Amino acid sequence: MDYKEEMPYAYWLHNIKGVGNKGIRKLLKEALKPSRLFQMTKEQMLEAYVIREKVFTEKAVCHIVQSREEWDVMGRYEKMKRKGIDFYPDFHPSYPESLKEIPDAPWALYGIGKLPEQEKMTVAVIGARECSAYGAYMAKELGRSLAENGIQVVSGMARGIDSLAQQAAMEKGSAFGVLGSGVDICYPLSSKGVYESLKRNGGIISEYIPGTEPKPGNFPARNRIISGLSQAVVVVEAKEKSGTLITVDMALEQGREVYVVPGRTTDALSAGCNRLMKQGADVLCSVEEFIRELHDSHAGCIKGNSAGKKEKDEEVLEFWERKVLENIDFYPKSMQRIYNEVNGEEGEDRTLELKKAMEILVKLEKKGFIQVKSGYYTLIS
Amino acid sequence: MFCKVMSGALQGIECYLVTVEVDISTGLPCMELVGFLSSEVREAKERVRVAMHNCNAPVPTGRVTVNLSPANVRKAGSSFDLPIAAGILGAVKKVEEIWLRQALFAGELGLDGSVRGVKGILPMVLEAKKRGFQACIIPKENVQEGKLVRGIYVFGVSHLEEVIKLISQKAIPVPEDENEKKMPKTEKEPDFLEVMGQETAKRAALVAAAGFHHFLMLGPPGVGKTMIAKRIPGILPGLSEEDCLEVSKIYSISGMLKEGKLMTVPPYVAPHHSVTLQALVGGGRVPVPGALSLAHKGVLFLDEMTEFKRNALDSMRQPLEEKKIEIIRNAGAFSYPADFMLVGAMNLCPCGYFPDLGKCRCSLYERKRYMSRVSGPLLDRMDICITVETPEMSALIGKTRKNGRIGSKEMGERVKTARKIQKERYEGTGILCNSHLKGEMIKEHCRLDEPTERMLDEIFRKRKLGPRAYYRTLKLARTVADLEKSSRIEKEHVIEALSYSAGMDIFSKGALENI
Repeated sequence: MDYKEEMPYAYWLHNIKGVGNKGIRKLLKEALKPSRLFQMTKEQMLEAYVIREKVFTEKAVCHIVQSREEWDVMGRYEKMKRKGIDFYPDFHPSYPESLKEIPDAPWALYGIGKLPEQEKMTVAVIGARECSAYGAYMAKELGRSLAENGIQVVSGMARGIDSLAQQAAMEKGSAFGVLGSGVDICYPLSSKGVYESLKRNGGIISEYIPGTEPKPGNFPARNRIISGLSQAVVVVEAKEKSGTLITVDMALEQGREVYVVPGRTTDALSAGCNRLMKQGADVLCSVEEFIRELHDSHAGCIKGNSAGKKEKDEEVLEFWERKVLENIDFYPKSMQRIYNEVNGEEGEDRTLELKKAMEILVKLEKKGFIQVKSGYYTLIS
Repeated sequence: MFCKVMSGALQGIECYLVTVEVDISTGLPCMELVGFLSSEVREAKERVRVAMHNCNAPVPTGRVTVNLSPANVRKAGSSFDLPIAAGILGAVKKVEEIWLRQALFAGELGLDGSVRGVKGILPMVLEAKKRGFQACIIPKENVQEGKLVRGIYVFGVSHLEEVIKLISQKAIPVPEDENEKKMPKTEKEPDFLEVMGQETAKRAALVAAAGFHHFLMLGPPGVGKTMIAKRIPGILPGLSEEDCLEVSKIYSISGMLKEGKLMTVPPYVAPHHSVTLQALVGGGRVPVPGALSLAHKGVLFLDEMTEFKRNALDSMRQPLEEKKIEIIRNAGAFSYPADFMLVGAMNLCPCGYFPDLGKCRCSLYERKRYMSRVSGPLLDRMDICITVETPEMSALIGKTRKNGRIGSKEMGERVKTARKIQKERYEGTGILCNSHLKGEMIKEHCRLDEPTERMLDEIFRKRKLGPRAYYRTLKLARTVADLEKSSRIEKEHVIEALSYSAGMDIFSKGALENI
């Protein structure tokens, strides 16, 4: 089957209202290729699908026939191509093999930019929209390290973990975003920047017809594509009840590896991750180790490049500077809190004066160890 | 039969003289009031007529014409009753000459002849003294207020009959000095000693008070932001004689001078967040001073700043720069002073707990919308922005560290000393404290040495702050140096100032994202 000739017909087939992935597969079981279906007479179709196989009603067949009459096959396909949107039905050679394995695989994908390269490994990095500085740091670190090691990052382009990981990955490699709307619609709008750079340094993927508005129901479904495209899924931060966990369920169903970034038990944002850990998910102890494990279990044609993380210049810090720095975290703390924690309870031998504490904080900020945002201090991520 | 007596009317916080002219001529018995009057002045006619009748001094039968001059300025208020009555008495020759020339009258009359208190006595008596009058006849209720002015005889009267007796005397007697009633000690002022822990916020409050800097506190609910704000007026130095009169005048025209006592301590005004623009800046057809002016030389505390109406908050931007409010109405242009210290308190998100992500339930969008209720330019004028933290349990049960035990008395002393240094330094320049420094004066008085300047530059680049923040930090550093009695601004002073501007970026883009 010459797939190129079939493309415009496949595009028509995918655009018939009321015919989903399952319906298309049923239709093609008899017709074999979209162009043949297009050329079948109404009688042939009725005979094949209503009388013999009993998979469609007569009304549905009429609907298909009618849509064929209204559809300008070549014109519509060309119009879409002109918009820079590519179309990948499942017989297309670029259609990702890994996606074919999953239950209810999309029959076709739309894309702007590239599709994930099949000879490279793909990892999904997902997590909360409202993330902490720790989550943001881990997302960026993961995105960067994965890309440096030639691993592609796929995610949902949502604010927070998703887009941070994608952005970091695009600096060194490529990243992909799977949308719950048509590929030509940027949702959420706040991710416009990521959306634009994904077009150049990766790709935007969706199973929905271009122009489809984002509907809440679309998002769980697109999550199966995120996990389907990847060999492993990493959850960076998720609350106890989080949409991220839907993706994890999909991933487990599809037999993908699930890694979680551990957090403190007191952090609501890590509750989901820690819960997954208890249920047996793999723990991501360090980014380097995670990448090594990936290489081991998916020994393929992935180039190894374990360039170690650049160590921060070991600077000699004084006693109090060290003590203050130890008390600053990825979680924002006010000056008062740092001061309280450094000094501890009354009665300790040495106490840090407030003035000295201010001096140390400014010094650490100047040296690039910490940052101050909205009056709260955090480690630099 | 013509007669004129003097009275006063208010224009802003100043008073101008009004001549009450009375003429009684033959004609149908009636009383006519002219001179661009508001309705409460017009109604004086009935009050005066009945009151005089009940004091056995009825208005003579005939055509009575009363003119309040200047006739082109609108007159409001109830203080013209007494001068009109005096004028009528004068027209029938029941008043000695000297009173007509040398006395100023003001007061409202009741139908039984009683004299009731009016607003704005202080500026009136001040004006009378300035114009060389010898006596003022004012309601007894306001006599304490009037007696604040030295060098003029002030007679407090409670009944029209007293007035009639008084003004029939040939010479002006010396008014008997009322024994000043010993005021019962007012309730205990809130003291900073009661604030446990909170060393950073207390220190910031001290610096703010020392330099009269605007002060913003951020933090979750229930950590003591309001508690700290309430204690700030207590550490501000008392008002100077000049300021004291000015502030008292504002309170006098608002009818808020308590028991005729001068405002000797800085006022503390904390309007509820439902306050309207007019109540804040001053308003009305004949504008009365608003909360900003009532806080003149004192503290204006806006609790839950994000809950205020946007237009009310934005109306403060110009007064914050100009230190006064110009209101233009039909009745003319009014200018009220408004040189106050703005103290604000707010949360960082609708639920209040941000950035504690374990407790905060708000989305980024909600947080952004919450913050956008306060305009950036207003927040840009806050000099100190400090985060207030939930106090530790150990601090609450009294186990405070040494630094946390400082009280209002000690803080007040330090503020006083720092203010004195500032006053001496800025002698003759028209400004009193560091927060008022502008342009060239900042360069002159806030010089840094080379390494300190480099450090400041570096931090500013890191924090991506603008020029206004830069000057603010310099001014703050100047105040910190003054508190430490240092004539030069040292590196440590700049560092402390930098710590107070650490929260300045809350309104910049991206500040609320995953901190």
